Amino acid sequence: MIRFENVNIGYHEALLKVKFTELTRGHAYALIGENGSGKSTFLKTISGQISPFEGRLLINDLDSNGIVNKERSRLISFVPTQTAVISNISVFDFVGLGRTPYLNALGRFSKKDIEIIELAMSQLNISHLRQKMLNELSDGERQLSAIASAISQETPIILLDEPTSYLDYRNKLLVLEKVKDLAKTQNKCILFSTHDLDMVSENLETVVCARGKNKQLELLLGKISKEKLIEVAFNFV
Amino acid sequence: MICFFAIILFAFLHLFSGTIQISFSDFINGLFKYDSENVNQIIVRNFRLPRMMMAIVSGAGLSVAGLLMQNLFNNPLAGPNILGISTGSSLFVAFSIMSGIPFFVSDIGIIASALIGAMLFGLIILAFSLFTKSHSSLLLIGIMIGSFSGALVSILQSVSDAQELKIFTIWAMGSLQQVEFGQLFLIQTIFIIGVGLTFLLIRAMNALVLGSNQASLLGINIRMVRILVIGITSILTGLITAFCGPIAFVGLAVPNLVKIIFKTQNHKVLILGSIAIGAIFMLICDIFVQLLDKYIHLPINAITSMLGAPFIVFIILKKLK
Repeated sequence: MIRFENVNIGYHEALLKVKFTELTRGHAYALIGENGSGKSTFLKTISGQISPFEGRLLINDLDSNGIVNKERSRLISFVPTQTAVISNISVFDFVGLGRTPYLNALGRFSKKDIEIIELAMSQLNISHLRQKMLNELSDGERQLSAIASAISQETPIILLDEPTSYLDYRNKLLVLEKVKDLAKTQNKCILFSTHDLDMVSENLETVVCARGKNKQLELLLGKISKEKLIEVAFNFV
Repeated sequence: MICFFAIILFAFLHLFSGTIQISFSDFINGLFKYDSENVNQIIVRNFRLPRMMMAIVSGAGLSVAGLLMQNLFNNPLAGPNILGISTGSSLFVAFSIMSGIPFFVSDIGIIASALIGAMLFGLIILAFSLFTKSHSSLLLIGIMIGSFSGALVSILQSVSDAQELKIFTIWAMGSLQQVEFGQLFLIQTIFIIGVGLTFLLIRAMNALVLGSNQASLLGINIRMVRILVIGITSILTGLITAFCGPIAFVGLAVPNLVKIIFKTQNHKVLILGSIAIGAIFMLICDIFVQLLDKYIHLPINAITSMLGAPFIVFIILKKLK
């Protein structure tokens, strides 16, 4: 789904070299690494907000640089770490913004759109917040709404920048389960950055590790203990 | 729906408020069986009706333009004047008045130069928008262009004589009475095209609430939207400034009021709301101007802020409770 041909990411200089060739459908990948190691840069590169510094990035066999916004919005959804606190918008309308790529200029929801939005909200247990205003929510509820919005965008690739940062323990587990479930049942390719190494080490077999000091992005496969993850991520080895 | 009935209601109230009492039949005749000998009919056709239409066009047009600007720049303090489009108009009007050439000092001359000024400055800001990626830099450039031309206007004012200064000052106070019946058709056509185009931006404007970065990830062509927004704003603001002078406040206040009243970010509702509330607001303000006309002649610009500002503060305070 996401292929890397000798890719170096970075803004003005090569920051990290991607040491693997592909992220595939059907998997949820955790992205770990120190602060400032380049996790967000990696997510921004894949989502097309910045171009790879070197090499070729292929999304669904298309060169990422050649994909126009409209196509990209049906391939990739992106959840930023912080959702802006917007006033005067209900949770339903906010989640519904994920349907933007499928609407015409007048922006009217079809019956199908509404069903998809409802489903996305119920998957994250926020259906009861439907009519609430976004600026009245807690940080965690707002984060869940942003994730629901990405789900309603129905893209094969979902990128999440620290989706669990504001969540309590139970909702962290919920999001992790949801992410794994979506990847399996709907055959999506999901990549999320996180600092929750406990959860990653017990639950995931696919981890991308940004090693800032070595200037490398590595793919770690198989269940890995937390200690080992810390060693790799924080460059003790 | 209620709003649109209210527009019609206030439009009627507006038509009948004025220092001279006019019967209903004169109104009908003034429109359909125009008799140029009848003084009342002349008043209807040449003064009342154009003035009413201009109140609606300017109120609705400036409000929609303000809504577009606030959305594009993600800033509730933005308004149709923010990019220096109406200052551009002022500059050209100041030039033409100070030039002393009779044609330019005439009504048509002033209208023409205001239109040219608005369009030219709209084009300048559009050109800049092609090169700047960030919206806040574009906003800053707009404000800079605005203050630069504002300074030029001051210089022109300081070197002009009393008579020229008076003409310019009166123009700058804004007025809904400069339009003639024959010009209405053109004005309305441009107005309808401008406002109609905004409806094609509903999807993009809804997504832009998330900021231009997220909107672009949702498949919105930000550059295209920007060009359209600036284009539409220049047309609407330029048109209204040309015929009514630089009317302040409405474009800034009404969109904010509409968001408070309708509690939504769905721009279909917000655009319709801005049209309705903007038109009603201008009609009410101008009714006041007409009612007070017996005692004192007030410029529309003074009334909009004097009535509007306390009202908006009241609404905001009420909402905080």
